[in-house]
Amino acid sequence: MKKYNKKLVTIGIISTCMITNIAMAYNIKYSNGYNNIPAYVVGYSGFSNETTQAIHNSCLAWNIVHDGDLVYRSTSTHSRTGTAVKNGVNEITKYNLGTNSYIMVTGIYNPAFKLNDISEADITINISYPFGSASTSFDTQSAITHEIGHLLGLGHSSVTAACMYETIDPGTIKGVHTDDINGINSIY
Amino acid sequence: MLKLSCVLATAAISTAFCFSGCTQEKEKIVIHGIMPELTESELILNSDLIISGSVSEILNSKWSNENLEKGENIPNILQTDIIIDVDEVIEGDCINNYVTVRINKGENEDTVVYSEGYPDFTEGEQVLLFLARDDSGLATDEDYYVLTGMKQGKYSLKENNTDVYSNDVKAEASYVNDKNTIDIDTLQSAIEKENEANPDYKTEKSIRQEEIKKENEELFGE
Repeated sequence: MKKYNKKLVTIGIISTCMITNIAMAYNIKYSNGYNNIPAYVVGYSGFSNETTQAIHNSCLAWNIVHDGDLVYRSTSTHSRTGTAVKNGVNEITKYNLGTNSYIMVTGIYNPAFKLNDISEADITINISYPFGSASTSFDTQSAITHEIGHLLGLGHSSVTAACMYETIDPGTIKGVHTDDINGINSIY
Repeated sequence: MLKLSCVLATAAISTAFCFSGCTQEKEKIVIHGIMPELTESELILNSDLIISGSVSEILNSKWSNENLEKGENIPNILQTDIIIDVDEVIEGDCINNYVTVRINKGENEDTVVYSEGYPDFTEGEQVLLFLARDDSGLATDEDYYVLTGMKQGKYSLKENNTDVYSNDVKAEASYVNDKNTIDIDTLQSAIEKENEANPDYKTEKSIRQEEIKKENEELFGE
């Protein structure tokens, strides 16, 4: 009887661990998320209407799934042509980061003594890569949605279909996946 | 005497407290991003040099544009150079018996930059590296390489392959990263095939990069 109970307990523990792992495919990098929501992202003044709309849509995607105000595209713009600097503003810029770098990248600053929230996050679009709707190009909106997920505190998901998966193929369009939703709702 | 002892003890405790509270933690910058997933074919074709070797030295991290000396439009990124002693050049030309590999992360006296797209290196580590010349706006005229595909370009010697060389005959060496395993012999065959099938790859890539530059000016401005 004792051996049987031990086996049951062991199976129970293993099952719980497996279920927990499946449920938590998303990854929280900053448990307190962005420290002053809604966050505003400020785009470069030279972005096309198409890019500006992509930024707007990406923010909207996160707000809709959370049913609340998380992030908006600011109506202001900036004129910085290099990558962003730490200035208290969440800027989206563009730069030639080379063909052996990220497609898009988010730099997150933590105040020295706070480790679990985000005070500023700057996004850089790597203009070495092709963007657009062609099958050989990366979808701008999908990539920006991913980066805004980082701004909001998410890390990379292990679910390949998730917006927050760490890689993307050309020609792939990704919206916010169930796993991404679970992640964002666990923070906010 | 007792009063003096109390005063001295209080002063000592206060000093210790002040010192611990005054010690500034480093500024932490964390870089996250999305990467293109490279096939083995792309890893080979996009590399200028493929080598096996060992990590000789990890140099002190340096800012790419400290005090914006190079102008406001050049990013200021913390970079670290790693010196690799070359055991074998598998593809490409290498004049020296070492190469310098530059990654965009590191730590100095007041800042630490984490970037999960770049791998870590350990002195003494046996590695297989796919390397490319830096074609970013940060490139300098120093002699260094970057990892092709970021962390995808670094493989470490598999743990059970400790005696790779025996009597001047190279035993089969396997290298791994978090996604794949590569054997040197298989890799050499793959390189020959790719080069035969794509003799003009680098020229075509260069032409395509010019097109991408123009297309992106429409989307993201000049």
